[in-house]
Formats: sequence, structure tokens, C-alpha cells
Amino acid sequence: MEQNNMVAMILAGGRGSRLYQLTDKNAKPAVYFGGKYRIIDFPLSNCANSNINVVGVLTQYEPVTLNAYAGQGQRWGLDTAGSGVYVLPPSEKDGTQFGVYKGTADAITQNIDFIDNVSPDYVLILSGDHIYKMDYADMLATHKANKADCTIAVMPVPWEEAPRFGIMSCDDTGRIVEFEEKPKEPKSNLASMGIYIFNWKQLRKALIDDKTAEGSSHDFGKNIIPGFLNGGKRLYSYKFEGYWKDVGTITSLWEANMDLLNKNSELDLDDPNWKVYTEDIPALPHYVSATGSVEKCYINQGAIINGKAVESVISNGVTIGEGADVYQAVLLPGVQVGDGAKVYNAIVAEGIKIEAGAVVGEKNSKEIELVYKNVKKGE
Amino acid sequence: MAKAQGKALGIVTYNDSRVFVEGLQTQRPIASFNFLGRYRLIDVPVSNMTNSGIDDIQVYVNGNPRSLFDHVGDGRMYNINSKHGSLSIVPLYKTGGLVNGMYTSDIDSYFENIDKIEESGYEYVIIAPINTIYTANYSELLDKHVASGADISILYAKVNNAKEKYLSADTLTLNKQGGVSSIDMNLGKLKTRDLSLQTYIMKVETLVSLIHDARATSTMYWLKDILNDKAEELDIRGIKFTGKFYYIDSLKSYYEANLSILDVANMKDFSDASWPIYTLSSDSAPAIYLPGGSATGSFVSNGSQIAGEVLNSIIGRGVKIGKGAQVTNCIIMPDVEIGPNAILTGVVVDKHTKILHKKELAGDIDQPLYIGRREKI
Repeated sequence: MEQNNMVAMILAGGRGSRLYQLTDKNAKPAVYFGGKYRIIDFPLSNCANSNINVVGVLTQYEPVTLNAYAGQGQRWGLDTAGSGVYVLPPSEKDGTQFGVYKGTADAITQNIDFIDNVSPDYVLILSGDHIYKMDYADMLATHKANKADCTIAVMPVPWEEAPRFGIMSCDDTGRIVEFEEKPKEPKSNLASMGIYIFNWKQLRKALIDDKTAEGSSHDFGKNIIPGFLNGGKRLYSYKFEGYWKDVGTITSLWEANMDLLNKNSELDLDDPNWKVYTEDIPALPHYVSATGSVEKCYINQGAIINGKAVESVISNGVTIGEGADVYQAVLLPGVQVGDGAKVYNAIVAEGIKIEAGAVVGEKNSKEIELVYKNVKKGE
Repeated sequence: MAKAQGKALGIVTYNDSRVFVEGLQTQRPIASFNFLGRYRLIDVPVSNMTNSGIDDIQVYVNGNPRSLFDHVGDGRMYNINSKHGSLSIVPLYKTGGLVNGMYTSDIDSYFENIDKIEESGYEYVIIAPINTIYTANYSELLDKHVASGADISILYAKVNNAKEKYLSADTLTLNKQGGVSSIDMNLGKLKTRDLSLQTYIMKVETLVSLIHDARATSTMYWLKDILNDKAEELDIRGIKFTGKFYYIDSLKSYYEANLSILDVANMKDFSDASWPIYTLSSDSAPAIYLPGGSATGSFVSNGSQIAGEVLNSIIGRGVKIGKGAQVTNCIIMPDVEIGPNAILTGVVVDKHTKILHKKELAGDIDQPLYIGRREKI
């Protein structure tokens, strides 16, 4: 396949501390989503579908699962000659101590050699935290058409939420004239999605300058992007209008899962032209037994339903016992719900056992319960 | 030098014309039949082999092999070692002659591949059929065979419904010591028979010599015919299989085999995490139940969209079932679309078929109704 001469770098080092125990032993990009996926499948599949052949995955926090997972490039079709997924944890270099990635920009700075080896014209910076489908090739075409130095993907957000984001003000041509990180009084509602395309030569120079800049946080949003703007470089926006969700909290992770129950939502994971690739676990198709019933559910292969499941996302290896009642729940792989147990408005972590007769969560509660320990009856 | 890696050469082969599954088999070889919604039959014997440490596998095909090439690819999903293992699809081909599937025996495939068999470097070969589905550890069976000192071992199962089922299948006549004195066709006269599971274990050199002997005897000979001839001369023994097996020789038995695995007790053979049945992933999303959609007593594969009622059925990948539709006791193969309010009972619907207008279609347990591939109703 023809290369588009752009390397993608996925920033996957964050812990995602607002996911609490889900990321105790697991980096956020490795968290499960939608019954069979992991969050990082989304940027990786987007890369594969956008004709990007070389992807670096920058890991740092609890990287064991993530490194092993992302290293298997064949899962996303990123295993032909000249392509690959490269896991890039911080490493010791000549003349430096073994360190950590001090910021998003520093993570790229520490891998300049890697990018130089591939020698691309463009570098795409992504994060491993979001659920969305985007054609990066189209974004690159816009970048080239604008003769931009840097292009930032933006999306309109409700005005009242704008103060939570990095906000871009643009002129009529889409050129970014101002960038404000979490402004109290936003001048625009176009939020940065943390997706950037840079011309590699320019980014390389900026990173090297930033490395020794005093007081720098070595961060794209705080240092590199403002530096480009102040330096008079051509920054353009790329407007995205599809489904995009930061699944950084238990509630937003649950909501994004619930969005899958609506076939008409913009998040269709079964579009044959834009598949989301992941690991395939050998298992029978999901089984609903004679005592089981399902209503408005999203169910992966390998699940066994002997009880009642309503408006829930059910992963591989899940067993729901007879007489159990599961409502608006997200059950991650291997969860066992015992006979007669009740699970309402919850995310149940991988491999958790909810014993027979136990009750977790509350029906129609606004609070989403995260169940991360086995639950006995009466607890 | 015997190969250090791998236990034996594995061969999966086809059946003679006594096995014919109406409808399905005119589209594809038995190996490519859809099984339990997301598999093809070939997945079961090949997974048995790879799970048993057999890493070199030849699959003989009599019929259009296109679907098998698509499905099997390089065999990576079967967990075959990419350096010292191999999985080859071997379509029937006769040097310098026409191929007429009807009058061709498995000996033709063995003979055309005799160099590959001899040069495989293995001491033993295990041959499995495509139409008899079971899970078994070939490594243990091989150990049994070697310990017995027999020349050839044949896997068999005792059945007590041979008057109604397995008609014209191979049965073994066993002497008291478990030796095979003959291989006969089941004519349905006796209730209890020792049914051959057409699974043979022997030395590679024994197979090679049998192939030559069969060729010298008759062009119509199958491997079982020469084995029958040699029953006196060679030490052929039966190894009794006590697990569940599914003998597929007709549309009815294909239908029954699939639906009987909806029974939890039978399902376990195919859902054992320590004995995975591998297949090609289609990268489809989990199945979705839309408002009004439900399932009971059924397998529903990924990529399906269920807006109707599914009862005691097997739904393949990427199937759409419309609002108000009722699907009972059916096998719906991948990528089928069943329109709103259609009522299907006892039907096998082949791939890519569309049943778009309200329609009642019914077969029964004795005679399931078959709806052909890519039909529009």
C-alpha cells in the first residue's frame, strides 16, 4: 500500500486517574470498551484505515498489558513490509540518565531518533484516550492544501463546556489566530481534540529548542502550540463533526458504552468501510439460554446469558446466572454475575464475581457504580 | 532425521459420495460449511490438531476450494508456528488427467501428494475426516497407538441407533481383543454398531505402502477399502471414543448437529478455554439487540442486528433480523437479511440470502427447508 509519509505517535502514557481502580494495574489506553475493544484500538484502527503505516505508541504508566497488546501490529493490519506498531517507553540514552517522559512534547523529543529513522514529512500526534473514528488522511490533505505548518483537529462543543477545553479562535479560512487553554470566557466553542499534524522538520526544531527552554512544561498545549502561534507560523484548524468522546471518567466511559446501544448513534463500530480492529478471542457466539432474555443489548462472542439483561454492554467471557437482573450495566471481560444477583447502572471490572443474590448499583441512579472487587450477598 | 518439533503429520481429508448435504454441498466443499454461526467445519479438526501439537497439516479438498483459501489463509489464526509449521490446502488434482469429483477417491489425493507425505520427516501420520466433528487430543491418541504396538489404529464410537442413523457409513467389526477384522458399510440391519470415526493413526511409511497397494488394486479404491483388504495381514485396532461426535452426511444431520450444540452439555466441547476452536476473525462489532429484538436458547454471532424474535436458533455473523420477524429452530448463515414480519421455522438459510417480504417459510425436524445462497425471496 502506498504510504502517505506521515508517522503517527500515540501518547499513551497517562494513567487516567479518574478511572480509579480500572487503571490501578493498567494504563488508560488499555481499558476495555464496547464489549471487545480497548480504547487504543480506536486511534490504531484510525491509523490503519487512514493509510498510515508506522505508528509509535508512547507508553509509561503500567505499560505491561499495553506494551504486549500494542506490539502485535497484525491485529490492525499494521504488519506489512515497511509498517509496524512500535512501543516506545522512556529509555536510557547516551549521556542521560534513565528518565521519564516529562510531558507530551518531551515524549516526542525523546523519540526524535525513532522518527528520524523513518524520515517522514509529517508527524501526527494522537492521544490514546478517545473514542472516535477519524480519517487522518483527509486531515493531512487539508494540512497540505492550507500549506500549514501545523493543523489541529477541532470540534464544536457546547458553549457552557468550552471552559474545560483548549479553545481555538479561527479566521474565515480556518487559520488559528488565538489559542486559549481552559479559558474562563471563551471566544469560540471550537475545542482542540489533541490531534495535531506537524511538518516534521519544524516540529523537530521546536522540540530541540523546548528541551532546554527554562520553565517549559514540555507540553504541546502549553508550550509547543503557543510557540508556533507566537512565531507567526501557519496554524490551521481541521473541523471534525463526528462522534468523539473523552472516556476519562467512569461516567463518560459508561455513557460512551451506552451510546453503542443506539444503532443510529454516530458511533457505528460495524461500518464495513471503517472497521475497528482488535484482538479476537476464540469463543462461541454469545449464547442466550432458555432461561435468559436480552433487550437492547450489545453482546460480544463468548458471553453466556441465563438471566435477564437490559440496555447493557456485555463482553466476552461474561456469564449471567439464572434469575439475575442486569440493567444499564457495562460488564467487562470475564465478569460472573451469580444466580439472582442484581447489577444496576454500573461498570463491572474485568474478572469480577458478583455472587448469587448480591446487589450492586441502584436502578435509575445518576451515579455510576464502579465494581472492582468481588461482591457477596448482603454487601 | 525425524523432526524434533511436532508430533506427527496431520491430514484432513474428504468423503466419498455417500456423504452429500443437499444444497450446501453444491456451493462448497464440506470443509467450508458454516458451523455454529461463526466457524467453518475445517476449524474443528485443524484446531484439534494444533491443540495437540501437530504443526504440519494438509487439508485435501474435493470441490471448489476458493472459500477455503479465503478462510484459512496462512493458517496463522490456528496458532501454527510460522517457521516450522505449515497448513496447506491441497485441491484435488490429477497429473495429466481430468478431474471428475464423483469418481475420484481419497487415494488420488494421497498419491498426488505422496512425495510431500514421505518428505514430511514425521514418523507418524494422523488422518481425520471432514464430516465427523468431535474434539479429541490426538497427542494422547498417538501415545495410545504407539503403546499398543498396532500397525494402524482407527477411532470408533459405539452407537445404538445404527438402524436409523449413519446409514452407509463405515462400521468396524472388532474381535474380542479390539482388533479390526473388517470395515463394512452400515446397511441399517443392526441397532448397535461400532461406527468408524474415519480417523486413522499409523506410521508414514505404512500409509505410503497402503497408497501404492491401493493404486495397484483398483482406481476406485479408497483408503478404507485397502485397509479392509489388509485387515488380516496388518495389526489394525480400534480405539474407542467416548466423547460426543457429530456425523454429517445429509442436510438433516448437518442441521441436527448444529442445533444439538445449543444444549449446554454439548456446548462445552467447543467452549473449553484450554482447547480453543480457532477461526478467522471478521472484525465485526458485537451483536446488537435493537428495540423489539430478543433471543432465547440461541447462539447469536457478532455483527448481527436483531430486531425480531430468535428462538432455539443459530444466527451467523452479520445477520439482520427485521422487526416483528420470528426465527425458530433455524440455522441462519452469515450476512443473511430477514425482513420485517417474516416467520421462519426449521429453515437453513444459506449465506447472503435476503428474505425481504413478509413470508412464512417452514421445514420440520425430519426435513429442514434449505434456502439457497444469494437468493432473494
